[in-house]
Amino acid sequence: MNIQGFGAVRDMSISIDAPVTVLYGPNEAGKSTVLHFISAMLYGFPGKGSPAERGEPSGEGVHGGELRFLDKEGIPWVVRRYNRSREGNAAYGKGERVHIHKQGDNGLVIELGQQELEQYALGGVSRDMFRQLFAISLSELQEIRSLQSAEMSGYLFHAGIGGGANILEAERKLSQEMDKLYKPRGKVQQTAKLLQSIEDLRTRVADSRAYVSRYNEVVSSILEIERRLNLLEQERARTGEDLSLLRKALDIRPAWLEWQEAGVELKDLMDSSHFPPDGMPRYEKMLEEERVLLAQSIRVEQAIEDAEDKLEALPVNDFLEQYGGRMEELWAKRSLHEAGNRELAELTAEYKAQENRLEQLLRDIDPAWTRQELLSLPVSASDREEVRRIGAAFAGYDRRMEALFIEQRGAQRSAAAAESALREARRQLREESERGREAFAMIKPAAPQETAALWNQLQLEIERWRERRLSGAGPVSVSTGRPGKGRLPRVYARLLSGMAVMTLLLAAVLLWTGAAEAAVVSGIVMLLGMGYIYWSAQRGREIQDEASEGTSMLDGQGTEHVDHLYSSLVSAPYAAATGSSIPGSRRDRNAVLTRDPLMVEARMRELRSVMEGWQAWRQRLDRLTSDCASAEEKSALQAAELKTIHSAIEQEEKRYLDLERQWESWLVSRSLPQSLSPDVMLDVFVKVEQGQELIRQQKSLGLKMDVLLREAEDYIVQCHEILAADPEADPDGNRNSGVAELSGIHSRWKAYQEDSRQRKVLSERIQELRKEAAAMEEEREGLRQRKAALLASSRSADEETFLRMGAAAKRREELVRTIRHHEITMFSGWDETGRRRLVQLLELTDAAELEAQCVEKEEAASAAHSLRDELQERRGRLLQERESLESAGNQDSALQQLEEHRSALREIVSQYAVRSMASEFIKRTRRIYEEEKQPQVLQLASRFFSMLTGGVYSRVVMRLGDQSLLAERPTGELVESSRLSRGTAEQLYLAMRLGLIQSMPHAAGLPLLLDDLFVNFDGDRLRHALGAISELSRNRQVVMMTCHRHVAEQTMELIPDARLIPMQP
Amino acid sequence: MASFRFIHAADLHLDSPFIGISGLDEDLRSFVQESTFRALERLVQLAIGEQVDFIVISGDVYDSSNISLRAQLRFLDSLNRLGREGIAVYVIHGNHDPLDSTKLSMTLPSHVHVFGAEPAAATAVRRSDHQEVAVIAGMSYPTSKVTDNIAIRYPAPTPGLYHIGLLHANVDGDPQHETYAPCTKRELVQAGFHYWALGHIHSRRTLQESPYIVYPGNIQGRHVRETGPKGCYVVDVDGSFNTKLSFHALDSMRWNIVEAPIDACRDVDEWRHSLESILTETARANTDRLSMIRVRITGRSPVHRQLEGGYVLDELLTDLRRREAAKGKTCGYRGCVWIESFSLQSGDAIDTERLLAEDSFTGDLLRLIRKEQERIHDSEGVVAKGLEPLMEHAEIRSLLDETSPEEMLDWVRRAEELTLGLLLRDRSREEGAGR
Repeated sequence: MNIQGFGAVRDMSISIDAPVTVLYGPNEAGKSTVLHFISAMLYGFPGKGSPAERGEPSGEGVHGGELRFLDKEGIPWVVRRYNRSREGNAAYGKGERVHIHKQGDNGLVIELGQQELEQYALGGVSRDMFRQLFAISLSELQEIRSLQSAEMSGYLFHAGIGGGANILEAERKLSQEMDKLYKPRGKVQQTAKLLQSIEDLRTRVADSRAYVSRYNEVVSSILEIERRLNLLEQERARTGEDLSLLRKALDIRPAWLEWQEAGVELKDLMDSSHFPPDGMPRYEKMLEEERVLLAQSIRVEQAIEDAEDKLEALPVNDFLEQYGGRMEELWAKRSLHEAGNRELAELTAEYKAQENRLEQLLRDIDPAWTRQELLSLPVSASDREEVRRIGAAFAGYDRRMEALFIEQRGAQRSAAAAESALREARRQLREESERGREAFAMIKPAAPQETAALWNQLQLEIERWRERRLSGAGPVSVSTGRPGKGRLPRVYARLLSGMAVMTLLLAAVLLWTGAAEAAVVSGIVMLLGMGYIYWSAQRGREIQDEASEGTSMLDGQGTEHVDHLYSSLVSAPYAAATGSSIPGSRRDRNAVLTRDPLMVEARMRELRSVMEGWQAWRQRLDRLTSDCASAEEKSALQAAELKTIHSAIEQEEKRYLDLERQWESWLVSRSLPQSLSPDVMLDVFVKVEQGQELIRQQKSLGLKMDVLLREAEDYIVQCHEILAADPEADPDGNRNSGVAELSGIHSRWKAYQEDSRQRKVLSERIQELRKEAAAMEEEREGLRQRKAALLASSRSADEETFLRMGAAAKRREELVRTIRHHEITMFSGWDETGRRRLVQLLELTDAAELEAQCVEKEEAASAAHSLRDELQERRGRLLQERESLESAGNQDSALQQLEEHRSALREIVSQYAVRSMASEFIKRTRRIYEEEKQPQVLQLASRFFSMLTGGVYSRVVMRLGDQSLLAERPTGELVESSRLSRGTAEQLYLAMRLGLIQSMPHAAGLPLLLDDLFVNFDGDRLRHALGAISELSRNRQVVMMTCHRHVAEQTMELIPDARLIPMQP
Repeated sequence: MASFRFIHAADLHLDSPFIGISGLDEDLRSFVQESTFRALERLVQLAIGEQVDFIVISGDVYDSSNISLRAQLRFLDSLNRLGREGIAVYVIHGNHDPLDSTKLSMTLPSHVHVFGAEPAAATAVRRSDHQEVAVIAGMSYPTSKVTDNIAIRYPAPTPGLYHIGLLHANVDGDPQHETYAPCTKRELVQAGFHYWALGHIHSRRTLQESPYIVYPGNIQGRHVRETGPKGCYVVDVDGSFNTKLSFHALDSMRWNIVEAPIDACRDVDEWRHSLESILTETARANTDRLSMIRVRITGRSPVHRQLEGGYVLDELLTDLRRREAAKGKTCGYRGCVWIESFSLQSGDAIDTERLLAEDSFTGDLLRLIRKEQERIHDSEGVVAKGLEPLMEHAEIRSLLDETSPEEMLDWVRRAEELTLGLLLRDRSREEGAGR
């Protein structure tokens, strides 16, 4: 044993090889540690829950050690075990580093696990078993004592086999579960509830079983009740019939009595079978008719008399009869007559008006005219056309004349304009030429061409001069415009002649147009113009002559020639026209020029500018001259036009005179006044037509008036005839007022006519009335005959009998009706048998009895009714019950629920049964142990106990009932273990353990470790104990730990093989 | 001879309670309760649809001798429906509804022929032309216990017509069923009938084909031992008495036992997944009916201990049932799978053989159990002792009386497993720790 680190012990090596070894040392020497170390080596370090046994060193260092031992077969084992949690801090179990190996037979080392260790080396002894049986300290020893007696045996088995605590635990668990499932008399668990509900359901099932019989009962009851109801219904029908008969009888009894009476009376009534039907009314009707007829005939007679009287009052008038018709006719025409008179008056007035108008017309046409003339004037269309044509011709003349006058005025105006334009042009020309003459007075040549020629020549000369001067060449020959000399006068001549012609023409025209003054003026102007032109022409020739002279002089010689030319061109005019100073200087310069070519040049320049101005002026002059010429031309044209117009006017005048003559002749041919113009003539035509129309109308009016007059006279004559014939008229009356009279007579005639109409009506009426009277008489006769026939038919002698018989018949009829009425009221709706029964009943029973019977039957009926109600109600209840039974049956699930509950119960029962059986099995097996295995243990234990106690107690006994241990004295006295002294009890427990150890065949050879067990033993018993140990040590090692010297000493003393190992802390 | 067609049904057990199921809610209970009637309804529809000429019912129309009102009213209703179609019905009563049981006092419709307490014969006609086609012989049980051979007393067949014998009996004494009206197949063959329409045995079987001796089985399985399709036979007989049978299922609820081994499962969840897939498979195979299944949990694995531990299976069962009940409400329980119960037949991963040989407490225990299994009915035996406290209650006593020996053995086996589990818990834990 090598303890490297365990508890307080460190690096301790102990070798235990003696059968008994005593570890002796003071407290804290490490004895118990050695015990725990061995246990830990064999079974691993225990959990941290038991630190003492775990033996973890308090400080740093290795936890664990090495154990070497020989097993029972002598094979050496080595177990090394170190706790790694010291180093690695790992969890329990994994923290161990285990190294187990044994040496095989052939010397090989075999690595083994914990399981093999326990199984082979330790004989299958578990850690707990080892701790409780083989490594015993005082506390473990006393655990046995502290156990409950019920668990004792379990402990024993635990000691004897593996898992004894499991058995107890299993048993406890099973019984718990069983209790939960079912207790025979429990009320709370599910099973009890289930059983209760099963019971309930059984009751319900039993109830529902009764459904069928109940249903049968109900159905048969229903059938019975229905049968009874049927009977009752029949009974009720019968009673109802009787009752209705009785009620009817009671009801109709008064009617029945009357009916009877009527029958009797009918029998006694006089025979009136021959009385004709409705005889009485017929008779009465005849009487009535007779009376009516009589009254009517009287009335008719009276009416006839009245009518005749009236007729008498209306006489006949002969005059009116005779003349009535004509009178009527005249009266009718009267309005016509009056209308004729009125029309006549109107026509007369109109005639007079027309007369007046006609006269007026005639006066309008010509005071001398009469109707005849009027009528004789033809108003044909051709005449009218002629007049219109002449009128148109006059109008055409007027129009043309007017146009010509307008034209003439226009021509005169334009002629005047042309004249003024001409004058203006001449004036400008004159002014311009004068201005030119003033400006260019120094230019000698008068003619422009000459001047120009001179200038050209001069320039040429200058050039030549210059050349000569430069080259000394000769003078340039200049031929001037001499030829122009002849030309100029030709132009002037032509102008002059044109002007003369124009002047003449103008004068002629003006004269012709009648503007004598204008012609004179223009003629003078023309003459003046011609004069000027002639003068100009003369003048021009002079100038040219001068110029040609100058030129020829210039031609003569060089410079002098130029000079000459120059002077001929300029100086003279200059000197003549300009002031003194400038021409002077020029002259000086000219003079210089002649000598000095420079001067010549300067002069030439001056001259050139003058010449240029002159040339411009010449151009202006030419233009103005041409303007003047065109103005003259225009003026001549206008004059010609004026003349043409005058001739046209004259022509028109002539035509007019012709027309005038034509018209006058026409008027004369129609014998019309000469003063008439064609336009007026047209008006006359209209008036003539009107006049002729009026004459015609007058004629027709005259005819109408004649007719009307005749008619009026006719009418008056007729009136007079009638008045003359009137007998009532006053013979002296004014016959002139016939027409007025006529109205009086006419009204009389009207009245008379009315009377005669009345008369006619009256006579017709009388006629009718007479016919009526005759008819009445006839009717009365017929009536009498009918009455007689009626009497005869009733076979009555006279009217009195007839009347009596009539009364009887009426009474009979009444009676018969009454009887029939009663029969209907009484028996309607009743068949023959019913009726017979009714009559029978009425005849046999009086009112009171009827009443009584009726009441009786009613009571019976109501009784039946209530019975029926009751039965119906019962039937209803039964039907309802049947229905509820059906539905209950349909919804019934009690049986099913019962089965479900039973199956639930079965499930519980099966669980319970299983557990119960399991429990029982365990119990039985335990009993086997108690009965079959226990005796051996107890025998061994008894022997040890006896040994330990030195024969004070002989046996250990286990009581089967409560399984408590008993100690038996040799006398047979039994002492319960709880009553033993502490020492004795410990001895008992030790004995038990020793017995158990010895009875375990597997654990043979396992060493026994006893940690100071003998402290409570007295000397004797200690000796006995040591003896027992000595015995035990024969087949197993025993290690004893003690701190008591006497124990150690005694051991050494008593056990020769013992070795003492002292230990120091 | 004329051909005809009839239906042979037996053991309707109308309104029979369904044994062994628990935890039903109201809806499912009414569905289950209705299932026998539903099967009857389907029978009627089948008869109308197949245009059969008549129906024979070979006893046990009702379930117990105290017959429920509902069953009778519903049966009468169905008879009336058949009557309206002109389909005749021939009925015998069996041990569950003998003539002396409480019945409705009613006059049967004319098309229904119920045989009396003595063997008799009736002639059946074809619907279409009322031609006589068959003679039907039969006898109802006068009381629930008929122990003499009644088949030999049946009237002997006369030549000409097809002969059908209605008999409610346990032919050849099948030991799994109560033996009533004992007779042998030989006797039946010799009787000369063409068709023995038998009743009483609830599992469908044809004992012989010439003549036909047929148990059609009941029309609706009622508990876990009545598994598989249930229905009736439509029998076609042609002119020369050739007989052809075709089975028609009528059940709306079918029982099944499935096995859910735990061997390969490391934990409960894994096992639960495998169970789910088994359930799905069952549902797929029975899409138009409710499946009632018992799950046999077999195999050996540490999972067993968790399952045996109690609440795991209970919770699982409650969970699955709740799910199916919810689903069933919407679809009329078609394709639903209701677990009737778990049958825990599995064990822990224990080497029992080794233990059996061991000289230990457990070994002794196992040896004791094996010994006790031999004598479970011994009143001194451990089984009887274990059941003793239960016997105090009459209800439970009657329940235990009904318990079959197999079940007892099963309990013993479970007790063994339980005990071993409890005793070896520490050991296995230690072993676990050791590893």
